[in-house]
Amino acid sequence: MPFNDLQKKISTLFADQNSSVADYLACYRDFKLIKTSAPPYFRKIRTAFLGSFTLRGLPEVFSVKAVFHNLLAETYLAPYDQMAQEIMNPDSGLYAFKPDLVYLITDFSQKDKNSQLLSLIDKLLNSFAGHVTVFEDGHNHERLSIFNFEKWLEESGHQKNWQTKFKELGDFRLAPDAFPDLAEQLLRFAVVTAGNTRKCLVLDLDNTIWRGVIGEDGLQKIVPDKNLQQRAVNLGNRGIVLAINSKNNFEDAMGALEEHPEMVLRKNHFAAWRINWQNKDLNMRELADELNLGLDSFVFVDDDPLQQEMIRTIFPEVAVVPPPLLANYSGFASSRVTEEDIRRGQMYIEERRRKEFHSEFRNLDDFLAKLELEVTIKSVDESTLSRVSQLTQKTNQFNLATRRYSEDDIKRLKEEGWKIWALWVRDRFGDYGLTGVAIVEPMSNAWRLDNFLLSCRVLGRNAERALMAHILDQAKNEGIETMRGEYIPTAKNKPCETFLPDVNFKLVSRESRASVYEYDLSQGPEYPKFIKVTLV
Amino acid sequence: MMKLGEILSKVLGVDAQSITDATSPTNVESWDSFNGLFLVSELEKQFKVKFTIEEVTSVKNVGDIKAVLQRHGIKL
Repeated sequence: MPFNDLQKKISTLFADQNSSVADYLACYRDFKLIKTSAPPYFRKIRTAFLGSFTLRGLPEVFSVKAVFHNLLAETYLAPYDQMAQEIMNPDSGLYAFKPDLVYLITDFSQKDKNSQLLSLIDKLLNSFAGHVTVFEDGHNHERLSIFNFEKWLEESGHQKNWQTKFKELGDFRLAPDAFPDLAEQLLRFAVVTAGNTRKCLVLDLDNTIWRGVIGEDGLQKIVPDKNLQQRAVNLGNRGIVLAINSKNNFEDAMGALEEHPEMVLRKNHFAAWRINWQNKDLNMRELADELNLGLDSFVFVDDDPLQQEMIRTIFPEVAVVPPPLLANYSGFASSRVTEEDIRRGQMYIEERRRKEFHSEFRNLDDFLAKLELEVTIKSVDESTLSRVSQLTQKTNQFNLATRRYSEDDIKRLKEEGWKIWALWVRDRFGDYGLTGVAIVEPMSNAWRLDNFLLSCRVLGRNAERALMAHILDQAKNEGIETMRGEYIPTAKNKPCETFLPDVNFKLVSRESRASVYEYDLSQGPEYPKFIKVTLV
Repeated sequence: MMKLGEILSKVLGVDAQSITDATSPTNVESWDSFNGLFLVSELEKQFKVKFTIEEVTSVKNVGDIKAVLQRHGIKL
């Protein structure tokens, strides 16, 4: 059997709420034969199972379920009820197996036996470098995780499989029927250990995140599934990228997302979408390209069995999860969420909004008009001295003369009567702070622009033109006739090569070392359009 | 509802055609004690019945399984 056929079979088993332990065990027979032909995106993990009761069948079911998580699991089952021996003996099969992750599966109702459990856990952690998952309490340790087995029995409905006749028949204290669901929960720890957490959740809309079909039922009749949506929002907050793959009119679907009062998910939770009438497999590929994420990190949630089957067939690496099964799906498991994870998720959304903003406009003017650019210009003083000096040291690209000034330089020049201005820039996307500097030496009937620079963060907005217009205005008000400026080329400052001519300076002389320009102040300086200028 | 032959085939990994009433742990290598219990689990699930411990331990071959199922009202 080709490996992707097995993947499809296993994905189908996952989705079928009637699948049984026997189905998984039958699949395991196929898996054993072809596991060496797993594709390269699979991650390997070695997992050991130590039990105080019979666990035969659990590692096999676990291996099969692991395939659904793009994991190739090598498993080891310790001999029946030999947990202590396997851990205490340095030559045991457990250590020879070299596990990445060990599950210690104990019976919480056997209190006397469990008193030695804590010291066994310590011994195990000190004897190998991998991770341990226990079914009961343990000390705090960075390689130790706790699976609350007792709680899981209650909440999953598998209490009915605990301490049944199977205990008498073979010490299966947990009946085999519960193995598939238990394996899925145990895979949470394996996904984390292997570093295989999925990165992107792709959601269908109709009858997935809301009950009803927006195109037919209309906004009033659809009913958002708040549980599912909240789950998606929570994933988004942990850095998982959210996307939409839906067959709908864009306006209907986006309208519902933006306007329905009970909707928990909103447009700005999503980093990307394909809402159209083309096939969903094409949409998936486009989403993967747009987000620049591999399809093996995608999860697809859609109620429609036809769509599930299609994606399962065409993209075996994508996890196809029917909506009711998302709650118990382990693919998004993570140990701790870092600032970076959260930031990364946000970045995708911001990137989408930035691109959207750019693509709405036919020309630059249009773009600048909607940018809501505001600049503030103020003479340098004690409080801004440090930042101004720093900018002159660091800025390379938009720097006309590349002259560097220390704080003392600036203080001295100011005392000598030089004019030094700082520029603050803000637009609808953010506040960029002090990002521009102009340094002018006033002479008898001309002013000389000693340097003019702008942080590359605020290029492309015409903010530099606002600063220049202000300087020229000031010169003109003082009765000056000419402003002089120079462009001194370096390896890095080509971005400002044409700035002075662009703002109507005339070239006076050009040598290899510098081009000298002059501005005739009898012409009015032109302030750029769409920029609000505040002088302080 | 899956037929008995399909269930046996799935659990034991044997060809459904080769199964007779005499098929038992003595002549099928894969029918060990563990697969025997997985078989019980699958029969209970597919036929929606619950066997007692006595019924399970009394079964020696496929013929015995059929008798037990029939006693539970399953028509085979």
